Amino acid sequence: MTPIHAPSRRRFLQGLAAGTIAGTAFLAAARRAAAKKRGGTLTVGMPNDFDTFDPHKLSFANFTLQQNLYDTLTRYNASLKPLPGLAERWAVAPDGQSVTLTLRKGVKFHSGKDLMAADVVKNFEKAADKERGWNMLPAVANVAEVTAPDAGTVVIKFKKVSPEVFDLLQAMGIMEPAAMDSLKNRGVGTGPFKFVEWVPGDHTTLERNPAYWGQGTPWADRVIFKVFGDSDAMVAALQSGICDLVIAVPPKDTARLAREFNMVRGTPGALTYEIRVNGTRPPFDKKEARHALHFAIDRQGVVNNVLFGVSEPTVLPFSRNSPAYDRSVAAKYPFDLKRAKELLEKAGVAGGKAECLTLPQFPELPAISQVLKADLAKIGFTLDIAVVDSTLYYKRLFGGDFQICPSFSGNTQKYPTRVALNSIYRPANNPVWGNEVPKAYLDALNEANGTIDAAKQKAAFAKFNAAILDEAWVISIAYRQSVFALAKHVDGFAYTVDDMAVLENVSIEK
Amino acid sequence: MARYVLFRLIQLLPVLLLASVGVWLMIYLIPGDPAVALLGPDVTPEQIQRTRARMGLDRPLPVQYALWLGRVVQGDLGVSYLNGLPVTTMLAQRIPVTLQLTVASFVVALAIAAPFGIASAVRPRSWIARGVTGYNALAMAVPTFWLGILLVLCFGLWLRWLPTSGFVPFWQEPGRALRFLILPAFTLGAYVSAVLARFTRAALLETLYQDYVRTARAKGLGERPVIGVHALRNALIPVVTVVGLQFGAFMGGAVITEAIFDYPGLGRMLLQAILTRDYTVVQGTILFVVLAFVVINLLTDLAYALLDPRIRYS
Repeated sequence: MTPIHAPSRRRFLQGLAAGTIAGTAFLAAARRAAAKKRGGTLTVGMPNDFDTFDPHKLSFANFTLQQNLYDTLTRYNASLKPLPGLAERWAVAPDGQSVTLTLRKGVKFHSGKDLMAADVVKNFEKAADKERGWNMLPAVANVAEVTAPDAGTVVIKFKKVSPEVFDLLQAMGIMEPAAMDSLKNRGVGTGPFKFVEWVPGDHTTLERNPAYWGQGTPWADRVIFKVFGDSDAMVAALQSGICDLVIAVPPKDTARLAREFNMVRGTPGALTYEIRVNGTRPPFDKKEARHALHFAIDRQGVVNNVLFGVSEPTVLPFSRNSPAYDRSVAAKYPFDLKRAKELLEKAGVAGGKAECLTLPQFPELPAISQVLKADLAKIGFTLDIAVVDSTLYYKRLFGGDFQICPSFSGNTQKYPTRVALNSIYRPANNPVWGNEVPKAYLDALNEANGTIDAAKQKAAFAKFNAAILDEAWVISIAYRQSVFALAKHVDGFAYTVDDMAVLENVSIEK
Repeated sequence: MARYVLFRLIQLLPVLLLASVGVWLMIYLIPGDPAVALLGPDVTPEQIQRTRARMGLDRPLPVQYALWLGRVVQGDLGVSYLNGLPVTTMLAQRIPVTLQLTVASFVVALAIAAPFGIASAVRPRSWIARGVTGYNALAMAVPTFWLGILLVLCFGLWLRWLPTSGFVPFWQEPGRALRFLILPAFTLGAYVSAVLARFTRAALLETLYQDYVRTARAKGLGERPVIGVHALRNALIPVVTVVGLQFGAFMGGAVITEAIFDYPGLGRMLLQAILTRDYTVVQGTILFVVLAFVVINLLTDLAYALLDPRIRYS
């Protein structure tokens, strides 16, 4: 007979305390839920219009769709612990070369069709298609095969070990395969809101998905994403009551708006500001000249004067959440114009001149250029700032037709090699290096991608960081922290680790 | 008259053809690539090349133009590179919006210009005339974008009387639509009101010294019928010409005004299309604006005959 262990008094009291805390938390949550108001229209101001309804195009403009019109296979909490999404459970093979997903039951697309494992397979096929894969194309490069053994199970096999499996699952938005041909102007997903209309350049309307699998969510009946070509007009619309919530509040307005609105700061390090340096063009083809920029950029000055304190400086692209985050390197690259001058002299380009390419769409970027220009002028180096519109900017940026340009990179907080999804960190077809990416960088990238052993990963990340700092074709400056401004009557707003707005729990309390 | 109208309509064709060539060449001279605008950050050169081929942008320029023109004569302005919507659909969505703003701005302009112009002509040396001259100088000198921002600041953010942006169709909710229209309509109408007030004043001043006006007064007519029936009607012909020509100013101003007030009209669509190199939308929109401009000029010419029975077209 199996003995029955009577709980000790201490264990009983511990259990009672834990139960009381859990019960109180549950009751508080239940009371909050009961107090939440259902219905209403939420108007969200955005600085850019959606350029497609394809969840595989992860451009900044489309971030808002990812968790509202669509769902991803898994989610992350704030400390990057995987949480269930459309996949309720998962099992990663011990060799790290496959993962088996069990899909959530009863999930329906907005069309009314049930979500099946075959739909997920088709989404992976689309992601792997050169014509239609967008940002997910490089993310699925390591995927060898995706199969659906039954209607509720998906098996993903990788070509080699995949240490970044949850980064992939968390990024993979699932759409209805039948709607894949009409993504330019509408989308069909499984998310809390479904598509109603899109008036290009003006607004997009979504309405509550009554069949959503969330616990009684969403709360709002409709969401209108209102597009403002100008961020000042967007902020004015919030102040005059036209919008209930705005995303991407300019740093200059943050303190002023805080008196009237609830300001929500996103994840520090979801994106990182940087200066991209063309290491194949004079004067920055000399490594010393690139290193000089490390010391010539006043990172704290940028944070204080350009980002109005809504950020923190960084020397590497990785955020604090990232396993490659290294606090110690900051001390090695202080703002030191004397050192920068010495390095420019060593490179033989002291008193030289370069063009800094930038665009007005993100006002911080010309401002960062101005800070750098002023500091370089103090040591006799001339920087000409060329402000061009976004179309020309991106053409020149991706064509490698620049000397230096401020920009920002994403995926800086997940598995470190995910940073290589940004064009400037790409191991091939790199806008600066083409297919001749520095060997030390490439080796470290492959090393980090090829192991699931924690100790080996740590060693590989150290090499990865060293290569980025030594080759210095990307000079990280500061984290880009999104700021959301909410009217006082908006409750329940959340955001993902990538600073994507989550409106599922938002209620309008007026 | 009918022959004259027909002749003017036929004249439209070469004008539109020339405008289309001009617009086509101008947009291709602007550096940038719609494929890059469509794809956005972090794409490979191969993806850009494939997209350019799919859009037909890898073909020679004359071939692209000929294909476009062939479709246009059949009433097909093509589809937007960026969102895949037919340009005609996009125009149909935006034209009523801009029309609402244009009509409201004209009403504002006329409501200011008519009393100001008449009052300053009738009492040319009074304080009213001096005030009107000051208003005219100010309204013509102040840039549209500055006035718009100032109005947003005063009435939208400080006083919070009026919304700073947005659009409500007049035919759906007239009351709310008016609230949304006041600021942009005044911004767009202010410059034109000054131009019209000046022309009305000048034309009326000249007419008031004509013999037939003196005769009317000598017959014992009161000032109101003398000015309203005899002087003003004859003074209106040059004013109508200016009204027609000001349509161009309205379209130019609409681009700025719609951007400031986030008004979803043709001007904002055109601006966005230019910035993203959405060539088909730019070409379709400008072609429409040219057509509208020419048609309004024709209507202005025809209005002369209504105002002055002596004018006959043949």
